Amino acid sequence: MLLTKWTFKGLNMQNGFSLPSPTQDLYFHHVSPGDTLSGIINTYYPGNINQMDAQIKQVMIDNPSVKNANLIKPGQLIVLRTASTTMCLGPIEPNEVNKVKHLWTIMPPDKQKAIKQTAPVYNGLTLGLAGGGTALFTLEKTLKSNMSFLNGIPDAYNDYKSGKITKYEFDKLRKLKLDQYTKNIGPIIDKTIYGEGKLKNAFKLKPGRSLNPTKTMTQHLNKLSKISNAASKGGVVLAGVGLAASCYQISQAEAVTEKNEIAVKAITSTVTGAAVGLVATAFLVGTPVGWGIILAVGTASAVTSWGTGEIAGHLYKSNFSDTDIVNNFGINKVCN
Amino acid sequence: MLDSYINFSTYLFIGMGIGIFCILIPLLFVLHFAFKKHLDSAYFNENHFSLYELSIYKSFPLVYIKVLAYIRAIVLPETMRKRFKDNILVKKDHPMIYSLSFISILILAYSTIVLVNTFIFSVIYYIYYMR
Repeated sequence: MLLTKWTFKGLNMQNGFSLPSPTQDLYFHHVSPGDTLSGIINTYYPGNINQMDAQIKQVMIDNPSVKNANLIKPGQLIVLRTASTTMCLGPIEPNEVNKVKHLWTIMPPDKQKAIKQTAPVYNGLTLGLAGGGTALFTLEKTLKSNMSFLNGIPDAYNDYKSGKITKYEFDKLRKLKLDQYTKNIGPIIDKTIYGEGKLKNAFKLKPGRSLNPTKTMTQHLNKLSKISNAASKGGVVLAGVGLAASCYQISQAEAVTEKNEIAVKAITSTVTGAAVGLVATAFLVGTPVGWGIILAVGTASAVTSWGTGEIAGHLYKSNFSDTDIVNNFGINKVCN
Repeated sequence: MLDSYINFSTYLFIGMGIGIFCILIPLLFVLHFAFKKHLDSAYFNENHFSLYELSIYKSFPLVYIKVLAYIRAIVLPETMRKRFKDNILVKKDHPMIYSLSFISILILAYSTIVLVNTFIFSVIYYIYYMR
């Protein structure tokens, strides 16, 4: 099958993708509602506003379906040359365009959909990974730091068995520790890990198991310890993958402006996330905070940093695209 | 006019990034050890922190929440009366810690202003350019 020879690599473009044709690389852009031809051109060839008219004419030549530069329809497929081929002399061979377009039309709908959906999913993945990493770190710290409450229950049981405390005192102590633990880790984590009421059940005395009545408690403590360790490792992996994902995007981007845009988004998101986190904490720290507040601050920080990153990327493209951050600061070298 | 606001906001934001990563975070790191030595024994207990806070503020990165609490209590003690009834550090006894805490609060105040400006700027920019 001819199709198997064709791969796509324009993962970083929100609505576009590129296919290497036998002789040159071409971008294919799916028009979304609100798109304009000049806006699309600016996305792929930023910083060439002076040559906009010439580029619009060129795109109209390459795309006979575009009769009017001011009238493009959502869903329409527009072919653009890659940055390197814009330097080539002569128009794109109509046969090349038609070949690639034909391949697109005969491609199964699920593959078309997958290609179109890959770019936004990949962009969203970076945010998800960063947020997931932070959440797992917090889970690990919360579980680990509160384990002492549960660890105390088997000890209290041994005290009860040796006659140091009464059954009533043991029950009271067990209830206190379980309540404190549940309150600290929060009802959502508690129910997610154990299910409704299961934790309290696990730390009750089991009269039928007189040989080792604390066995269930120990098993649950081991389970908690494993979850905590897994969360810690998961946090490290996700944080690393999130960082690597941004770096991978930079290394895969073809145009320098595109690399810079990704870097600007990542840097801005990081700065905003840190600033929101620190400022919010400084404001909230006057009174004791619970898990709910920490979760709310974390969520607000993640959403704000993502939004600011998107705006910064747009701002960079339209106003500061002549500033080469990735090469000046060696980011490109590191990511490559 | 809008172009000037774009440039102004961009430079403010870059200033915030440099302030946080080059000054504030190293300062928090240094102050963490200073507070551990001078304040933890007297104030990191159930009288000033909840049981939950005491359990989670022991290790990185949540330990820096405790550092921020101390910083605010040193520079702006009146705003921390719910947690600390008396002044936790006398300026004359520890001038260096007080100065570093004061610089941290200045950067946080600057960051607050920049974040408010960034929010207003983002709304304006979204309405005019991205919608």
